[in-house]
Amino acid sequence: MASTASPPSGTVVAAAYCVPRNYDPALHPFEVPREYVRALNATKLERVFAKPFLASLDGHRDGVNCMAKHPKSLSTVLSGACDGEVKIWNLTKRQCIRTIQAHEGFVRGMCARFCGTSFFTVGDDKTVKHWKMDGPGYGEEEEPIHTILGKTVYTGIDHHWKEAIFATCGHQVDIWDEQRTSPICSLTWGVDSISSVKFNPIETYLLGSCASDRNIVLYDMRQSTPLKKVILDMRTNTLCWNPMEAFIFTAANEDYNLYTFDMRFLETPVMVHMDHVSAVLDVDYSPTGKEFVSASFDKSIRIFPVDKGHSREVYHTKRMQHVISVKWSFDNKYILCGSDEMNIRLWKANASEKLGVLAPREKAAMNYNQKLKEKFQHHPQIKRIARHRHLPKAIYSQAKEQRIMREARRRKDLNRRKHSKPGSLPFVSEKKKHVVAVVK
Amino acid sequence: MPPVTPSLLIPRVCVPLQKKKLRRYWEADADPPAKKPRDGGPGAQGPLAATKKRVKGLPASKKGAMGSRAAAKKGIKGSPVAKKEIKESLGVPKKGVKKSQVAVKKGVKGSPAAGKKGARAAGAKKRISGKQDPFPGAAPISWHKVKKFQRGRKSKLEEVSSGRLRGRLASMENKMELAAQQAARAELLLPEEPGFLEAEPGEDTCTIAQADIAEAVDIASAAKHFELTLEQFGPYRVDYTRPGRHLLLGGRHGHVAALDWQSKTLLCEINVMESITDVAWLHTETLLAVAQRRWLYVYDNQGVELNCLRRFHSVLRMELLPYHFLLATASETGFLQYLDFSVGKEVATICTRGGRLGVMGQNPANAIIHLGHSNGTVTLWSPTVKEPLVKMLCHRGAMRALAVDRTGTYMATAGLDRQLRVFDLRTYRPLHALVLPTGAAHLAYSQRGLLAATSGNIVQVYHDVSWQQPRKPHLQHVLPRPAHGLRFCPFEDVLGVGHGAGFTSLLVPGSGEANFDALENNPFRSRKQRQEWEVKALLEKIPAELITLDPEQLGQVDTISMEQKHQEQVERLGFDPRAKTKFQPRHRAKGRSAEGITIHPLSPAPQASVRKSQEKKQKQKQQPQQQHKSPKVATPGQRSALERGKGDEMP
Repeated sequence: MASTASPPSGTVVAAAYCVPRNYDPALHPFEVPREYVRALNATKLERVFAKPFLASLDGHRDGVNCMAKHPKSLSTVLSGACDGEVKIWNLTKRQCIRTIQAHEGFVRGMCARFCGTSFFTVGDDKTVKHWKMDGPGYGEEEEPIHTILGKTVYTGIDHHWKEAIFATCGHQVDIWDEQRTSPICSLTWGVDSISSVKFNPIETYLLGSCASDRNIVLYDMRQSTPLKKVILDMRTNTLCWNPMEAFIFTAANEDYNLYTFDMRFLETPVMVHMDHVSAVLDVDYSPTGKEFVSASFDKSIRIFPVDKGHSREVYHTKRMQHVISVKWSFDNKYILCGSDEMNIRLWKANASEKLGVLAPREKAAMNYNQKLKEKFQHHPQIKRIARHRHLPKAIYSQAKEQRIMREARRRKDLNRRKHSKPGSLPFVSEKKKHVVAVVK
Repeated sequence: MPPVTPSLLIPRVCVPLQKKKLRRYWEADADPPAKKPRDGGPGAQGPLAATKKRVKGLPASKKGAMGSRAAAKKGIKGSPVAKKEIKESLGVPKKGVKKSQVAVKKGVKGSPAAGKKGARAAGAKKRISGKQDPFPGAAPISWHKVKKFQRGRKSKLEEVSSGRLRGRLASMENKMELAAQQAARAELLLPEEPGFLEAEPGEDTCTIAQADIAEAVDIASAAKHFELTLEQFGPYRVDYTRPGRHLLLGGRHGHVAALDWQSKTLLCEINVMESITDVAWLHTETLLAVAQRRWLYVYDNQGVELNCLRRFHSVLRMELLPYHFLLATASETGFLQYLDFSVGKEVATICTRGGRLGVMGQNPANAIIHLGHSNGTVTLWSPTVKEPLVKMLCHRGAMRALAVDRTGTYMATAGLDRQLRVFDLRTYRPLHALVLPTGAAHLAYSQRGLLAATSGNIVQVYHDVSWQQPRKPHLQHVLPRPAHGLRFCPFEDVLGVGHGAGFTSLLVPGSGEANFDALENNPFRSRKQRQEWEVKALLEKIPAELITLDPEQLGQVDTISMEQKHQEQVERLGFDPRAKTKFQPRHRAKGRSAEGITIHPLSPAPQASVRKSQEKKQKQKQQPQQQHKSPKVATPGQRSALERGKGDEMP
């Protein structure tokens, strides 16, 4: 309890702590309007302090094609470029700590082992290479632990989350034991190339892959045949499993959209995420499973809440070209994106967040403001300020154009429906429109 | 008081079942006769302190380290009142003790009916060892204490269709309830209690003179009763700052004085050489506004003229809206003007068409300005609306004074018909009326709802006017000359009256709020604290557009426009997006085909469906054409314009 005794004159400390409170509502009139004004100020300040760009890691000599997070060290990240070079970065120092010429041609995919001691890369030279995370000792040569020579090009790789098993994709999905040089099993469904494969982090026997015949195919490692597949309108580039909800995954599609599916009900996606104005190339979930980040050919990355159809944030810079790969760090604070123009960029996941240790009062104020913003988020003035983002002209005009196109299509549908027999043109929801079929 | 060893012994006196009685921590709190946390502390007034006249001067009692116990000397001798109070206070914990014991008994028996008390009863269950949990949960708290801190209505969860939303709302409700309960619990910790004045049986409080009160209270409080004799520049208008620390006097003949009235130090004293109609402090004690004969002037507390606002001329009354940083002025020519004094801009000018505006008041709960007119009406104004929000006919003659209480629920008015009336502002209906011999010329509500009225040179203070018909004044005082200005001092039991012979500060026990909130208004704030407060207050300045009759409206869902929005959406889209889709039975193929793979096309491709519908249309078109060939003649109204010529020749 704050003492009400008057502070000894001249002592600043005593005066500072002497704050008697009385929470009687009659002493605090205009509660709602004052809170509204505070919320408005908090929203404005949020936009003022929204400076998400932290650093750019340069050193690659070609576009960054793939990245991998270190499962044990927050400060380490791996990246593979289009010239076959793999770099390991220290994020706190923002330096490259190791460079390997891993492949000839592209590094197509890479993944770290769950223990963090080694990592795998696949490349255009039809090889799978297993590398140590630590550099070679003095006098030793930079060499992989194992090299597996395959018959076809591998386009992606992912490691099992608990066991010494990894999966590659290319013409088929192969599942490998780390100790063997031939796959344990190969899974195919139709003849086509498969662009990415991902293990489910919770139900660790499940796999998802995207094929270039517009399919997303799901596999169970314990079976010799695939589980089921869903055919979409256009090709899916990658998918990412939700780390908190075992059934949920999000697919990054060529038709500018992302689709979140529940793997039990593939007929309708749970949510269609639209905002990109070009093909979506990569997607990665935040460790909370509430949001994900997507990288697009339109030179921007966007952050989507899982349950919302539109993005809450868009990041871009003048120099960032087509973004090919993106990762959300395991501490839920940072986002890394690798793009065509050879740079890896480090962003804050929450644009206006203050980094570093917060004082207790600072933290309390932040929480209070957060709650206020949430409380008044639907008020038009506040909504307008919170939603406002500056976009590069290209994206802005493209989005506008697409809006016009969508509007025209909608109008045409409406006119058709008006002039036809009621019920003959059923209304198909946006979610159902893009799914062609589900095959079991 | 001798130090009393806590608790365990005391129930033996009052409760027969004392043997194994274990006490809960909250029971110890309500402990009867002598539990005294600290000697002489402000919260430590036992009922013994009840006396004939008890007056509590507020924060000064903290400063002077003299609680109202110091006032106890006078009436202690014979007081039956005191004894009675002691008994009562003994009675309360008894009850509590008994109840909890019943619960214990039931729990032991294993009666199923023991569950009424919830957590407490469960906590009171005996353990295997036979011991009771001395801390079985939070202390019970009465609902009417919690009710004060509850806001709005609870949401009706059973009407919510979505399960997820219902869950969220339910958890939010729980949090709000918890917040209200915690606020109610925190009230227990408030250091001060409001003062009161109590007469001996058969004696009337209105016969108690100021001198008696001043004699009964402690020295610091007694010093708050004083008189300033300023006969030269006569009758004075009065204003206190919001923390109640500073006083502003404005004499009609041009005398302006600003002072820290508690320490009696003068900040400035000037003569503006012009007649003064009203004075007002702005948001802090550094700025003051003076309405002079022609224009409105702003001075700082050194008496330096900062601004002359020529757009505000012949102002008669001023009201400060502190949360909006607005100064509302009512002029002789019938104009109501709003000055945003944080930026020096005139926010609104309203021609009220109500004649000379000599009667003005504000509703502190919603910042609505009340104006009294010469035809007996009161009009309510907000700066954004050019018409009165409400027009009430309150008196038969002209209005003389009005005041609105702190909660914005009651309005007191006085008119030339000599009546004093109290209105309920929720229904705009009169509650009570009282005829005063000469009628009231000035009215003021205190923070705790006491109503002061002056008629001529008599000041009367009424008690509980809002919920009962006032019969006698609670206090009365006779001034040397007729009163001209009347204000209660916030956070003090003091009523300031400006009159023809100067200024009188009267003690009115129980008028001020006992416990201030330092983040809102701190009477003891330092200069630095004031500056910090000023910055914060400016940051959360409420825009003038938000002044409405119901300030809570901003936080509510605007259902009407939501309906409109929905209708517009339906019109725009051509279908109702909220309508539930028709139930479609799931396509279920019995058995599987030999291949083990089946493809279910989910929805027919739009082109296909369009084509189908087009074909259907074609068919439908052809059919009527065939029918048309039959000798049936269509009425001219049904045919298209192109066929107009044909139809007549056909048959």
